[in-house]
Amino acid sequence: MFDNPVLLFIQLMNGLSLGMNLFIISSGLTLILGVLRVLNFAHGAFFMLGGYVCFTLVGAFDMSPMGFWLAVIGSALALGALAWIIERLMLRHLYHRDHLYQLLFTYALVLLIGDLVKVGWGSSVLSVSFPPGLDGATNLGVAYYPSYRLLLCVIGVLVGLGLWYFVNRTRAGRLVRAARQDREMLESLGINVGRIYLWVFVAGSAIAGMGGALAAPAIALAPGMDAEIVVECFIIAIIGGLGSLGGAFLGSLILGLLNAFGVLLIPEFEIVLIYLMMVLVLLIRPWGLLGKPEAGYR
Amino acid sequence: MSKKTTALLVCAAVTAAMASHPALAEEQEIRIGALYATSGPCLIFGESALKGHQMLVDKVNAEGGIDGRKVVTVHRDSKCNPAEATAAARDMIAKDGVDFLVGGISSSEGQAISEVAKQEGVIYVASIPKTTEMTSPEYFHRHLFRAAANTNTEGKSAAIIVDKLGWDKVCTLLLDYSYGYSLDESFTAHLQKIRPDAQIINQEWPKFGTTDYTAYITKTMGAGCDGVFSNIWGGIFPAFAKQAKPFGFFDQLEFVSAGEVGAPLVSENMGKDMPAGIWTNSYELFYYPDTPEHNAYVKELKDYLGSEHPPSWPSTGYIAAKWVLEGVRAAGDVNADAVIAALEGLTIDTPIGKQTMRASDHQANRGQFWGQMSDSEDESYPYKVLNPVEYVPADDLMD
Repeated sequence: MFDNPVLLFIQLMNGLSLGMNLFIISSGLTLILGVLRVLNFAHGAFFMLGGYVCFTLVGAFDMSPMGFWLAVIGSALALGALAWIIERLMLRHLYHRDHLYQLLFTYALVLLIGDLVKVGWGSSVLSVSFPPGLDGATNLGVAYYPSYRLLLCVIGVLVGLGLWYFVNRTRAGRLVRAARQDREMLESLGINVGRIYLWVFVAGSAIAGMGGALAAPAIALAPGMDAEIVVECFIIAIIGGLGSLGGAFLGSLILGLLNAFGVLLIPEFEIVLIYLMMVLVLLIRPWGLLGKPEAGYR
Repeated sequence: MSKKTTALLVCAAVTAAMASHPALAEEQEIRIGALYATSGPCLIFGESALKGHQMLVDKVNAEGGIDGRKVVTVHRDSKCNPAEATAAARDMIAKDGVDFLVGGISSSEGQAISEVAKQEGVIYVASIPKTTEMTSPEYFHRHLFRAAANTNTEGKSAAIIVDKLGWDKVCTLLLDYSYGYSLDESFTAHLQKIRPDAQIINQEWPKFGTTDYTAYITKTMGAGCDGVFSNIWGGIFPAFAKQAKPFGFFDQLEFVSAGEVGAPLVSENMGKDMPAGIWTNSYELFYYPDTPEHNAYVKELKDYLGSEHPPSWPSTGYIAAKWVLEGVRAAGDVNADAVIAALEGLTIDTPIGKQTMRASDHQANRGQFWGQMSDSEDESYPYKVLNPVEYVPADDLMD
């Protein structure tokens, strides 16, 4: 296999683009996990719902040149709105409860959204066409590579940079970081932490919706697609470090590359590679590659 | 005889008639338990198959039944899940008193229903499950009949197509579960027999349920083969094709696909994303063959479904129900032993031609339609169709 540099290059691109696609989704999960300390099982379901909303909106916009991109924005807004309702009516009552309640609650959302999708869109596999102009391949000098997957790489990097800038360079981002470190202190300074939690949950979910819409042309929409993705997102969070944005980026790349080169080199064991990686990280650095050990752990 | 006695006798006779009449009717009914998934991942196929079943039953009842016996269908949702299928099958036998079972979609469902049929001594006609394991000596029992083509027929027909296309270096892209393994076995064996020079140079086994096939696609393209044999079946093919197309996969490689990718419904769902030039199969095609019995079936189905271009899946339910009803007609009885004896070696007319149930392993000689995806010449049907297309008979391929 190593005598074919073109194939190696393409597998590398496959790994990168899969990793970036995963990062778009896992960044939202990481954000929520880092700030709210809620393990949101429903994140994959939000991703799935985003894809289905995109499918409907693409149909409604009738494939005008900008139709697909409007549908992506629409999916993000729709999932943001849904997250707002869920947070205000239900989730906010659970922050002070045991983690088990949050897990049960978000798992209930998984089941509800799964059935909602079946009722609303049926059980067959649906397919969103590539947006106009992106259904072909781009010449990268070494080889041709599908344009849409290249674009996903670029969007993944942009989402990462955008989130990094927001969290580290803006006032709102400073508050988000503060809420993550010491909620009580921030509250006693007169900051409405509940609002911060609300908007972080909305933003994280909107990113999941956008991720689902962006993934829709590259993959297929089917009930149950949420299960695989949410497991991958949690593995990414564990490898990278719970709540660490940089960790999620690194974890996503590792997962994408492990998949691409695992299939190439040791296809029989590809399926267990990411779990082995996770076990390895948990043994050596239980707080993740870029995470920080929790106080009291040292 | 006094008037009083006469009146009493009449009363008694009427009472007896009233009491015995329902029991009499019950005895004459042919009660079929249909196990098709109408929820869950197989809903779209199960609903369609059930419609085909119901269409035949309605027609037979309208014509007065089989030798005066009315046909009653009890349907339970098997949810494409072997545990549900087992529970539903038991329930129908115990509570609804069904004499026959038909249905099942996945091979695991088929094996679950077959097990119940064996224990309860009820005839089961498998309409869709394909795995050869069901009819292997270990699992086969005399109450099991299969109307569907088995994986031997499918894999070997694919090998025949590959031979016609003249591939010498063959890649496979088969899903990593029993359906993929069975096809691999039959395809490889038959290809070696009919085309000894051909070599299988690369095999990929994507997980069943994966959403990203990219790594397998590019690796297969780098392997240097003439063509690819795959079983990424109709329901999941759209995702695969869409991912493969931008790489130029279908331009660079010939592609032979098992798993009914040629079903009209798949073509309609995919629209222009359906790659032209691939070779694939289907249970039935509303546009082929142009025979009186098939045309009559298609017309009936159009009216029944109210659809100008009916799907292929109803044929699976229709033909399975037909086996049960023709078996009862030939036996003149609903008794299981009598019907088994009648079905063994029986030849019946179906919409896709004559079918024979061989006595040795109760496998019908069901062949498959294979053809090449091409643009439709019919303006009212702007989707790709199989053209050229042929029926590959199963008689020499079933083992």
